[in-house]
Amino acid sequence: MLKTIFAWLMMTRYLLFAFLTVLSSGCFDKGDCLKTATNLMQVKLLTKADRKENKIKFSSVTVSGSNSILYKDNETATLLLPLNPGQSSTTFTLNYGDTASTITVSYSQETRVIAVDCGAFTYFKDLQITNTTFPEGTIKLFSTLLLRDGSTSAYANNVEIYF
Amino acid sequence: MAQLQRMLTMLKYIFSLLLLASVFLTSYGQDEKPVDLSDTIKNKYLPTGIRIGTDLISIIKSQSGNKFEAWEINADVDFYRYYIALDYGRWSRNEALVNGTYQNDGTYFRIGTDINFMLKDPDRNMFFLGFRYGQSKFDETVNYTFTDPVFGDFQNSVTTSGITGRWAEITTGLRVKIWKGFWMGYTARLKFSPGTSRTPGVVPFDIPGYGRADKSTYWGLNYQLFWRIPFRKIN
Repeated sequence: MLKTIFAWLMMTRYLLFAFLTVLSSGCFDKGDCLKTATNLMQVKLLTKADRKENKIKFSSVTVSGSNSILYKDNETATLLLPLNPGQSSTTFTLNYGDTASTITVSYSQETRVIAVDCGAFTYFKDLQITNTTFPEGTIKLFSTLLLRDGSTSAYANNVEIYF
Repeated sequence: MAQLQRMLTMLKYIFSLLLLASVFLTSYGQDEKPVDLSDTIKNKYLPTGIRIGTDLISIIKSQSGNKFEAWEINADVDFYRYYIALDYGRWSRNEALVNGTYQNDGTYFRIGTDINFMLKDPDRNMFFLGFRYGQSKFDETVNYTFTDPVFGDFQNSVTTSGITGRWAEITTGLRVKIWKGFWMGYTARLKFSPGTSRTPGVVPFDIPGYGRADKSTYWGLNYQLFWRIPFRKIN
């Protein structure tokens, strides 16, 4: 009988320790709400000669599947182009000077639940340039995954175009 | 490649555990009295009974709301100071997300061994260390909505069936004989090295029997009630 009581006391002690451990580890269960998902593909515009930032004046930049004009009369060295979540490919038309260039990209999508308190998000990956009117060697694919740093709002470098 | 790395990490953990167990056993063995020659090795390692039980925490958690439902059956058989342990359970989760819902439903099992460090106890009360391999089979559904400023509103529904999850555990706990064949005890689990089968288009969120798939380690606790069915008398 005494042995059983002793064993019970021992059990309670270990149980309390284990319970506190589980409770404290429960603090991590909420999950860090780091939302890195984005559908914005970053395109950097660089000089052909020395790969330096090159600002280009776009009369317009449009996207398939929407009537929105993404950029209008805008001089920039970085484009953030949205991929269509309802399709597996998106075409962009870049109008600058007397030229209209197109880029078609394909991609796959992946659903991730970040945490119950953060929700579910779509990640775009396996990015590929499937068609473009830019001459060969003037457009290059870098990161095939679209990511956004939540704290700095920096985007992954997906595509570079050399003018 | 990532799976291979996970497997290697798991093997590393298991190897470390075995090494640790062998150190414990060696040191424990030094305090023992000389072996009773009348007790043959064959008899010593013959099982004396099977303990079958269930986890109270799973049942209580299931009753405390409609987000989580689970039950678990536990069994172990003794081979002298070693126990073969087998658990089987069901686990389903139904969570409201900020932008949708998440559901999973599946079954799991764990198999492994425990080493009893209270062998001299006449009732075979038990303080143990052990390890487990866990595996689950489950379905998962995520429904969510989002708004894109260019393309408008979207509603996404992703269902994945027959996902296989796996993990390893280091366990410790107690089993105490309360009355006749009735036993109580707890098992604390350090779960680690989770992995799932390939699931194109979705990353599994919650593995039945383990927990959140993105957590490399997880704590678990079972508070168990057992009934022991004896095969023969304990020597």
